[in-house]
Amino acid sequence: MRTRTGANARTATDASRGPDPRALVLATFAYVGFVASFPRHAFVALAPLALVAALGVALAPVTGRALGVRLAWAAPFALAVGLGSPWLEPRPVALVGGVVLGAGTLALGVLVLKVLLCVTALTVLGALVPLGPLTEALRGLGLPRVLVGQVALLGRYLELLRHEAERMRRARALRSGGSARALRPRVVGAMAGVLLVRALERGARVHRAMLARGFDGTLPALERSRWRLGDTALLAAVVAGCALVRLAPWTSWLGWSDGGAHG
Amino acid sequence: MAERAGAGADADAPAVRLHEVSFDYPDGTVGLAGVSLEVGREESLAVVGPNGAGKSTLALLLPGLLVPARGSIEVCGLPVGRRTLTEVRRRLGLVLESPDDQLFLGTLLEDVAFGPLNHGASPEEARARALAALDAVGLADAAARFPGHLSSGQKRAAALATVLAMRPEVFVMDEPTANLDPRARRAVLALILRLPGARIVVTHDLEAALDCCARTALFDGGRLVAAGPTAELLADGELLAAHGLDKPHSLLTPEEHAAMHQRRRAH
Repeated sequence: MRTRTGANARTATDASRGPDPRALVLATFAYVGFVASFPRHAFVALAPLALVAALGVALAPVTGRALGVRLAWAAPFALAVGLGSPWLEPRPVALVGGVVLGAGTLALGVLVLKVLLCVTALTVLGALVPLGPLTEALRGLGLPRVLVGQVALLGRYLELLRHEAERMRRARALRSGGSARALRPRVVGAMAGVLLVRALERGARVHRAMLARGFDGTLPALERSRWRLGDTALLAAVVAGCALVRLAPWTSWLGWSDGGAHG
Repeated sequence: MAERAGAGADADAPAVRLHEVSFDYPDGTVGLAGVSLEVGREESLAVVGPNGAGKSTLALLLPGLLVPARGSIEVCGLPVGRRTLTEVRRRLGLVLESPDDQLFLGTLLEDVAFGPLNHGASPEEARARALAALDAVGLADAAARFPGHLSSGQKRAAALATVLAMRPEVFVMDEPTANLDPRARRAVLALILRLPGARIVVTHDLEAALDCCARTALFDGGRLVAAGPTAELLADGELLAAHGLDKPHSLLTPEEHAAMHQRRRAH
């Protein structure tokens, strides 16, 4: 039974029934590559790829909350990178609902959209493929063993960091009495330091537990992946769909501006 | 239990043998100081003592997670060292104090299968072993669940299953009954009693020691202070008090019971 209780909720037998993890990894990387390849003003041309991400969210065991949390983490970084664009590129390029949009504003919109689409795609991948099969797939695709091991441990470490941060946030909330003093830079800075130490110590304990059970640097997969015709079809469909959106001048056919996407 | 005849192992050797083992932490804290101890192949040993006695240090030294500064450790006749670590860790299963540290994969089935897979079991065999271990601890229905969402009692049982699936000859459990309600505690103790092979139970729960271990070793300040039959050692109130421990309620004499109730009434 598949439940929708969060990104980590998936059945142990999913891997044997679902697509080969390598196909999902390749499809995700292809999607991310196509999203990244759009020019910085091609908002309209990029928008249809959101449908692919939406389809992935609909099919994967991802809750709106789990996705929202990840997007909320990523969005500020995208905004921070592109926040100056509206001032650097003020020339008007589009009229939307009576509002004149500058090139920089459009570029900011494209940047945020790209980040949101990529984060959504990676969240869907994380929900469909558990860490073990994911690392096995990366290894199967030829990534160096050491690099794959680092990815696996990084994934686990980020989860520990999140867990420890949640415990500290709770402890602070219980004793803050709603006071803004609990959010002073000095307090937040100290908490960040303690968080790092706690996460490192906990990471060391988890690593010990892994070593005690024979961990040798690679995360073994319980399922043996098998590439089937359906995996080829899935990969081909994603690549073809993205290529069509990216390369075909469909915006011109509709008489819309493509922001240089097909030029 | 299959696959027991590992290279270099001595079938007649005790499950665990420590000879003059010492360990100091980097900050100078004494972990263990000159500890010698043997645990038989079918023996159950409780390791008790106050906080900082060296109990958990002992548990980490046995599978080679810490390296002693002096002395030697053998597991099933294998000297614990870099070259024997894989075999030692296959033969000795350690259940850590916090199940949250022990469970780290996306589903319980994956987590329990992690050990057997690392030790060379095929995915099919690892799955079968994991399911059998989960069944043994009463978690067969939770195989597909995310370990982080289990109750405390279920996490304890799951942590035990991760080691059970490896079919070790020696089980080392650090505080297996900590933070459990009475029912979950009883369930974990019943599980421990059913484990095959040698059992080393590191615990503050002296009643648990009485229930599941024939012999007890008392540690304090990194030293082995006393060892003997559990009922005998834990009945020695003076010895326990000298090392910061209280005599288990079930071993109190009528006079000690009366004195305890008098103290409570005085409060």
